[in-house]
Amino acid sequence: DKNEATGETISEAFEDLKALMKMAKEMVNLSKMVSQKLKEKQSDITEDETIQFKSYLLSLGISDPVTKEEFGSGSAFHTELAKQLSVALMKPLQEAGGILSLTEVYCRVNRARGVELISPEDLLNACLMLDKLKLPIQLHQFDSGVMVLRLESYDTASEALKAVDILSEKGSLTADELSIISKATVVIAKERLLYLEKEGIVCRDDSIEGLRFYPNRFISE
Amino acid sequence: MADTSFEWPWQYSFPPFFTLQPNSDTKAKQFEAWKHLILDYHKINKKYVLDITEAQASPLFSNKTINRKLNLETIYLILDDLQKQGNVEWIDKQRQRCYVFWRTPEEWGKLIYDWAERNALINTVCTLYEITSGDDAENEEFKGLESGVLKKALAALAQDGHAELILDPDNEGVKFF
Repeated sequence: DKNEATGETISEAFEDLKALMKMAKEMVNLSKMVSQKLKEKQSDITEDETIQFKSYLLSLGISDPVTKEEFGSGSAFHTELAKQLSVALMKPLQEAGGILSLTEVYCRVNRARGVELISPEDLLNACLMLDKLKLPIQLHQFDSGVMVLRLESYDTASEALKAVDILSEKGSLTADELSIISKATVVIAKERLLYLEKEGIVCRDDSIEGLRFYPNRFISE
Repeated sequence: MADTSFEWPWQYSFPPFFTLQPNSDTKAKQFEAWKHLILDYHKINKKYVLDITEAQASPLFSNKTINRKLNLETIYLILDDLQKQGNVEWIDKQRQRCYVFWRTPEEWGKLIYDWAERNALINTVCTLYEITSGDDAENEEFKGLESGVLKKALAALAQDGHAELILDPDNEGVKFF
């Protein structure tokens, strides 16, 4: 009997779910029509209207990047989130030497929130707003594709040059070794070494023992 | 082999020398050093032909003390560079063996012609053997010159009208003018 009751509840739930999906589908179609209309008469629509429309889309979970990017660069939600991030991340960033990778930031933010978590996409979108809002934290993407948040005062060159001192003391360095000595994460230590390589300050030794970096004696001697 | 007397450049014990450098300025310096090393190494050891299969095991491209060796791909890149500047010529289409001209055939030709003049060999016929292994060639730099390189050198002389090659397979020789 009990099993039967459970089975009934489940099938009822699935029925509801189906109905819900049908509703959502209608909303998706509707929003597509609206975004098409928006495209047709661009000039007649005020900035606020598109922003509002965008927040509707967000609550549905439909992404429509082409039209979204055309009308208003982000949503009001992301703007607010960006402001919150810049306050909340100030201290962790200072502790980490002014730079944190986006994955680290994601962990810190969601751990602190507990409920009402944010999606990776939300975080990225909020970070994309940072620059425009003139907040003291900036998003930066390395050539390798790794994204980081940096304090405005952070200076890539001078931070990387600190690694040169360590390097000349040690003779050679891997990203791991640099990360331990400089207390930066491995990802960031590696980016520093790659930056120095690009500047011709260090050169690489790639062997079965790993990727090591040496002072660039080819140029200096 | 005279490896022991060869003085290796500092780069040879510098591990990054054996990794292709991605930075183009650094790579240019690295290749410059490799090209010098390859030419010097062949010169000191009086080697004229580089065999790719042997090259990988040769001390030239692998330093056992620091446990590093240059990979095949990079060896080819450097040889390509040397070919562009006229110091390397491939012997076979499969690019397995190549001449390493630490002196160009023209330079060899000039050395041989000067020697022929000094020894009053102009207007006479010499065998190729005499030139590289004869008594008169005892103290010359081209003693023991590889026959392929020798022929290229003499061909260069022939082009200027200073020599004529006699390519009879039983009795290869040359006449100087």
